Amino acid sequence: MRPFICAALALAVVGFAADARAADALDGTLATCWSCHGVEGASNDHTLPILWGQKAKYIEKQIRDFREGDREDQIMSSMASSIKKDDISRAASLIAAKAWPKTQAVAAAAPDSIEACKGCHGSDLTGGESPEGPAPRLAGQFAEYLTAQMEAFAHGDRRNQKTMQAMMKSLKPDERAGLAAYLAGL
Amino acid sequence: MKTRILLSASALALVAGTAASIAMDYRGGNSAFGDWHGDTPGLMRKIEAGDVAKPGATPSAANRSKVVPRPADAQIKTMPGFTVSDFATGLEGARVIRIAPNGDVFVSQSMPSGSVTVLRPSKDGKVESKETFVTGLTRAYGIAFYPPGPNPKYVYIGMEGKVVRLPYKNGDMKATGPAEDIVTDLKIGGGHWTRDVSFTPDGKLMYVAVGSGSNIAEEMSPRPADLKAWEKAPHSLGSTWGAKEEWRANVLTYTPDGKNKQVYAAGIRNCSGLTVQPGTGTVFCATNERDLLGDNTPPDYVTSVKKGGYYGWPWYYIGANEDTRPDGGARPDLKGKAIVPDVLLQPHSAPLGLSFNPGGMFPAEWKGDAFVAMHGSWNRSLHTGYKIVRLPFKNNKATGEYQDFVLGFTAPSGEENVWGRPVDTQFMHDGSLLFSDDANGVIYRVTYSKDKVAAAEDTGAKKN
Ligand code: HEC
Ligand code: HEC
Repeated sequence: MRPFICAALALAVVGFAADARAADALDGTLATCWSCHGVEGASNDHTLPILWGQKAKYIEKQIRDFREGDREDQIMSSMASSIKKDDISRAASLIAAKAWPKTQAVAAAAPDSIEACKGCHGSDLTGGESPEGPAPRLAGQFAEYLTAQMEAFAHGDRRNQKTMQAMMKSLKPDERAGLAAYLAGL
Repeated sequence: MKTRILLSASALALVAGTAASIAMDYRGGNSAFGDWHGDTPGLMRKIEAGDVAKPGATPSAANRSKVVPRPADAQIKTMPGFTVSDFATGLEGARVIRIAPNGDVFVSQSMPSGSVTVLRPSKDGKVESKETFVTGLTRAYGIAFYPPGPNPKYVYIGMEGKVVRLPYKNGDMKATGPAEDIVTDLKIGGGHWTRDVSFTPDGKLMYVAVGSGSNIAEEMSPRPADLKAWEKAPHSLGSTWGAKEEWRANVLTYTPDGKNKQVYAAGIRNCSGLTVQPGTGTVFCATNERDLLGDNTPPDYVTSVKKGGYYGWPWYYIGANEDTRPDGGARPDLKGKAIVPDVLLQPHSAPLGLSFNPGGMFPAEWKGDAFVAMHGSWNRSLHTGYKIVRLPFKNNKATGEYQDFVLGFTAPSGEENVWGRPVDTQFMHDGSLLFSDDANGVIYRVTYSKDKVAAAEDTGAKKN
């Protein structure tokens, strides 16, 4: 019996060391993310989305979509592929576990159409599971980014979610901007 | 290796008195690399394959530029004798520019509208009238008139997943019929969405550029059992495979009816500015090389493209430098087979559009030179690119050098900001140069006047 236990122990130690190295490498990769997405979770550039505290399942799907080309962005396609396949869900959990940062956005009036969003994005619009897949937190996201994404859905430049595309197409540009302003101020 | 060549006034007459030869800063070797702070109109650089930095010599940086509106006091910098002025503004997402035989200027506005706009120039180089030729073509990009020559019958447009064509005759500013699908099987996804189109001078073949589906082929399905067989027509040496990467990182050819697909050349990560050199019929590409290897590696490039040529992606870059990241293992069999491109450019400058100077306005010895638009970096600690450069050609061959020509779009108020991102260049019939900016939706026109150089020299002499 004895030799067997030794081998198992040695294996466990090796496994642990490898895990620690993998974690370091992933931390290093994620550090690069913050140089765009903000070292404290929010960028000064409001065309870049807040990631910290976003829903893990949603982040994971986006990283896969960027890698596989279902969501197009030249920069994010490269950045997403810098995360090893086996690390994607762990990376998403690490990002999701951080606290959502508070922004300076001011409160804006709620458009009537906001009710239609709550079924999927959650009654407080902080995201959740929807019949259409993981729905992201919208509350407190940057208005500039939200508007750009809604426009992208409406014009077919973002096509990784059919229902969102149809929904955004049915709204007018000023309605989309109004929703973004309200969401950013939450 | 920094030499400063200063020519005296008397030497100037000997070299035909071009603005270029007044004071020329020349940088080779390590000093050729750098960011926008070192840019200055007239500066000539030459990067050679031996100069390429090792991967990871500097960390892979992320520094995306933030587009700001053009500042009221914005100043574009160029060389003596040249003037840069607005040709057209308000063209959101302006990308590729092509000139019709009658001089009309066709501009694709890839996003968000997916349209092609026609601008009719007036005699004094302004826009006399403007029409939408076609709209609603997702990511409309490349534009080519067919057949080549004075009387085209169609305008071909490269767009998402497709090449379409619309009926055209000289003078049309709106398409007179619907878009007809010509090629419908172009791969999509992965960030490289530009689809450039061009024809051989005899009109027998159509070139279509399709960039890779990823940065560095992180996911390819299992490799074909027999690579030698895989690389036979319609593929070619170094062709990638799998749902994501087959028929990508390629220049493809089709007959103008969209049939007979073939790989013309492989391993070109994202050929943009697909251009046929006038006179020789040689195909040229400008290419953005791979990301995440550090500030100064690997160089982007402009190159003539040989039929059946392999240019390295994903396994190699700039000749025999190996990249170990592609999925599915190494390709020692391809070592030494990747062609070294003609002109190496500062890594991450993102060269896109390319055109050849037909002559008629710019200094006579610049005839045949290529002018390249650089969209600018994100994967570099300090920004680089964001300018137009001149690539000198001798006897239709690139010398390997390139010169800062039009710049000044960087850091108007803070290092991260830019107010212009050049996409394409194109010469008008009068020899002036247009270039597009998709950041603020502007087409600029660059003109040249010898008198202006003389005037500048006069005042310079008086000051001395
Ligand atoms: C050079 C800048 C840059 C870097 C570095 C960067 N990103 Fe991004 N990221 C962007 C941009 C720009 C977008 C918005 C893309 C769009 O418009 O669709 C984005 C979007 C995202 C999104 C989608 C968010 C949402 O709400 O839909 C995720 C997730 C993301 N990035 C994750 C990452 C991760 C993980 C890293 C590091 C491995 C990273 N990013 C590094 C620029 C960057
Ligand atoms: C049927 C469910 C559903 C409804 C209703 C819905 N959404 Fe969404 N939405 C989603 C899903 C799922 C996603 C994630 C898409 C993806 O996978 O990329 C999403 C994504 C978004 C995004 C992208 C956010 C980001 O971080 O990139 C925005 C913005 C958005 N929705 C706004 C809205 C607004 C505003 C409404 C109401 C007018 C709304 N949605 C209604 C399901 C829904």
